[in-house]
Parts: sequence; structure tokens; C-alpha cells
Amino acid sequence: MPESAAYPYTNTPLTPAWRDHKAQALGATAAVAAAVALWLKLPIAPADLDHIALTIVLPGALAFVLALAPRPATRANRIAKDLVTFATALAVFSGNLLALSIALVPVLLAFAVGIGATPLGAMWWGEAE
Amino acid sequence: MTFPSADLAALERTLFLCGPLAAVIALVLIARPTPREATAALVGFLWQLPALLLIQLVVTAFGWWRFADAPDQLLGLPISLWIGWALWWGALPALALRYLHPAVIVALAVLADVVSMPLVTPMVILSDSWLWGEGVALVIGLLPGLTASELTRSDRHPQLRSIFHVLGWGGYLMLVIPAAVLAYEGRSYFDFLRVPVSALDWSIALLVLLLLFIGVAATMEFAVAGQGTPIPFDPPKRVVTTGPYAFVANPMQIISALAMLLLAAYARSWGLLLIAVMFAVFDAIYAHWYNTAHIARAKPEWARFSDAVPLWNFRWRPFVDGEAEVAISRDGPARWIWDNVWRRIYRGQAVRERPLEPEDGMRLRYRRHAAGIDETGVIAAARVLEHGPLPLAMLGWLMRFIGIGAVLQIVAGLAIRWYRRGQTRP
Repeated sequence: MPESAAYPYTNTPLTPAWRDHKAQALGATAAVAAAVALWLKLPIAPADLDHIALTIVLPGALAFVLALAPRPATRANRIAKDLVTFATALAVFSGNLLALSIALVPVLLAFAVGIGATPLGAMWWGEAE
Repeated sequence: MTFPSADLAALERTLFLCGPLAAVIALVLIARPTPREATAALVGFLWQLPALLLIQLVVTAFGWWRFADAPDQLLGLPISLWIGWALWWGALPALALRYLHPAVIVALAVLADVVSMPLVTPMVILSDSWLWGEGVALVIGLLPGLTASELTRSDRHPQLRSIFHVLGWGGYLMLVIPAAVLAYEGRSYFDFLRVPVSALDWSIALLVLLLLFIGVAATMEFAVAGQGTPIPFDPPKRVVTTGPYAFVANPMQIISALAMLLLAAYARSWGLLLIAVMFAVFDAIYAHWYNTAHIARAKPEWARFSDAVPLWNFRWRPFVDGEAEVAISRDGPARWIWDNVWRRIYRGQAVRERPLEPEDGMRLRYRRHAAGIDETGVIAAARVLEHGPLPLAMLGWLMRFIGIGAVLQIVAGLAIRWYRRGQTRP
């Protein structure tokens, strides 16, 4: 179906991409990164719990959910989703630089647009729909 | 088993973040929301972040409650609690709207607060009058957030939705972003809130107000002409080519970047300057691509509009797509102004005048079918002004600004009545 017929979006329920191999790999990356980040913090003092939840559990969970989010229709948005997911998964190691990494998200989106216009983008993320 | 106070507070904050996060993820998996329902949840969450920070300022000022010190906090509000609370009052109620009436959701949220707040010491220390704070929090946070979510979910009242977006985005520009960035720089938000002291400060403040005025006018135009909002997941139903969009293609994005640049200068903050640069990067690359990839493909009229209206600077005269129709009374002040002033403004544009019919309702009616515009009275006069050069058009935006149009209509009605009474006197 052309995008124009469904502008802006259809009413199809949002279903996790459980069976998509790339989504599985990104989801696993998010889970492993969060687990490693937690392991590096051991032993965790009770007073540090909410700092850990904020800087590791929250970005880890967001990266996992984003990894399994439905596949975007356009190539640049597919690249953006993968880049932001990967960066969010790695953000569990960023500690107090987490806020700075949030501010730099527009750079990732710009990269996604740039990569989307290259042959590499077409090869890895498929044709624009 | 007893915990030291700081440990117990940290544990409570962790639960108040992870509990709502798990609940939202579970509800998304169970409910499988449609894109519009997910957008409603996003709108609710995004409303709560500035609202809760504002509530924190009010609550602190009145001393209704205070939070135990946390390693990560903003204006005294623990960030883990802030995000958890925004999920609890924003995303979760929006997703629950499929199953529960909004009144039931509000009642359950109030009940949960009244029962739990006195129990979650030492995370929060309540004063005797804390219920006043709860009431204020409901009025600023839960009720408007839930309303915005419900209206987005059911795609109703785009103008009211846009007012929520205007207030919410204002909250990010003036509260959330400066407070977070200045805290990251080790400075106080109250440095930013200072009263302007120098001529430069006043110039910056006035320029920011002017930019915000244009931004609000552009947001409301999305609602009036396009029946949608600025967020890409809830966009206008047609390409909006009127109001500020007749002069510049992406006024809201330019204005956000420029306003942030000015706020950085006002606060003397490198962090805010970085945010302004990031806004510009987003606008120039991703948003530009989005318009080309999504809007242009879905809406063929976009090409005509984007060829004629620049992205980064203002036209002096408006782009007018299609024919405008003006119906005007045979006499009175509107007729005099039309004959002596407006005909010159309209020079070279497709504006068709027709006689006023009884069904037109007022003494002036302005219609542009292709743009989805049909206005009467003072608002129609404002639309007429928007065919003129930029300063006149800005006067038109001001006349149509939230609330001002209604007041001007009453004043105009009284003036005409007074004028007519003078005429009939012997």
C-alpha cells in the first residue's frame, strides 16, 4: 500500500516485531548491555538504587522496547530507529553523560538521513517504500 | 528489618520509576494500541514533564511537601520520581482510556495518591496542608494531560489540542530545558528567571516574545486550517498554506531554534547554545527530509507550496494558493475600509467580492475553500489583512490570537451599535 493512502498512519494495532531477526539482535544487545552495566556496578548499595534505575534500567528498557517496535515505513526512519536503539543500549554505560547524549539525538537523526541516501543505506536497510 | 532513611527513600524512588514503567510496557503489550492511541499516550507523557516540574515549583513555594535529597534531582524533584510520575499520570491513563471512563481514571488516581502519599515517607515529607498541593497537581497535571490525551485519541477539538501543545511546548522552552541544562552546568534555574536588567536583556526578552507569538499563531493555524497539531503523529489533514505558513514554510521550527538561541544569550549558557544548535540540526536535516519524504508524497499540493515559500526566511508578501472570496455589507466601517484600503492590499491576487447574503451572518465573511478557511466578523477582517505585506499580516495574526479575536468582536459590535445610534438621531 502506498504511504499516501495511509497518511499519516493506519489504525492497525502496533505489534512488537518479535520475529524480526534484526529486532531480536538489537533487543538482545540492549539486554546484554544493561546486564553488563549492572554487573559493573556490583555490589550495589541500596542508596544507589534509584541512580542505577535511572541510568541503566530505564535506558535499557527503552532500548529493548524500541528495538522491538514496528518497522518504520521509510528507509531513513528504519536507520534512525536502529541508530537510536543502539545508542540508547550503549547509553547504560554513559553515567552522568546520559543527559548530554539525549541532547545529541538530532545528530543521530541527521546521520540516519545521510546514510539513507547512500548505496550502503539501501543495501542494509532496504529500499524506501 | 529496618532500612536507613536514605536507603528506604532510594528504594521508594526506584519503585516509583520501575512500577509505572513496567505497567506501561505491560499495557502496551496487552492492549496493542493503534498509532493514534500511542500518540495519545505520548501526548499525555509529554504534558506531564513540564507540568510536574511546575507543580514542584508551586508546591515548594507553598511548602505543601518536599522530597528527600536524591542523587539525581531537578529543582528538588527526584528525576526517577519525575519520570515515573509522568508515566503514571500521562502514558498509563491514556492507554487505559480504551477500558475506563476518564472520570473513573481520575478518581482512581486521586484515591491512589490520597492513600499512598502519607505512606511513602521518607521519600516525601508532607505538611498538614498537602491536600492543597494535590488539588493544584490535579488541575495543572492530571486533568489537562488526560484531556489532551483523550482529545488526541478521539481526534476531536484540534484547536483545544493545539492550545495544550502551545502550553506544553512553552513549558519545555521556558522551564524543562533551561532548568535541566542549567542544572547540568551547576547553575540555578532562578538565574534564568531573573528580571531583565540591561537594554540587551530587554531586547532579547521582547524578541523572544515576538517569536513565541508567531509560533503560537502558526500552531493555531495548523488547528484552524488543517484540523491537526504540530506533532508529526497527529498532523494537519491538509497542507496548511495560510497564516504564518503563507510567509515561511516551517515557522515553528525556525522559531524554536531562534528562541532557544536567544534564551542561551539571556542565560549566558553554552549548554542552551548547544540545544539551539541541535534544534537547528534537527530542523535543517531530519525535519526537512521528513517533509519531503512524508508530506510531499502524501499531499501533491505540497510541491506548489514548497516551491513558492522559503524554508528559512520570510516572504514580504504572502503566498496565496487558490481564490479567496469576500462578502461584505453595502455600508458601514468595513465597507469604507474595503473600498479605500483593502482593494489596494489585494492588488494582483485572486480575491472575488460577492454581495453579502443573509446566511453569511455578519457584515463581513471571508472564505478560501482550498485552504479550509471560513471566517466572519473581526476574524474575517484579520484574514483580509493577511493578504497584505508581512507587518499587516502580523496584525491579522494578533487580531486572531487566542481570546483577542473574541474580545475585538464584542468591541466591534458595540462600536457599530454606537455608530448606528448616532446615525438615526434626528
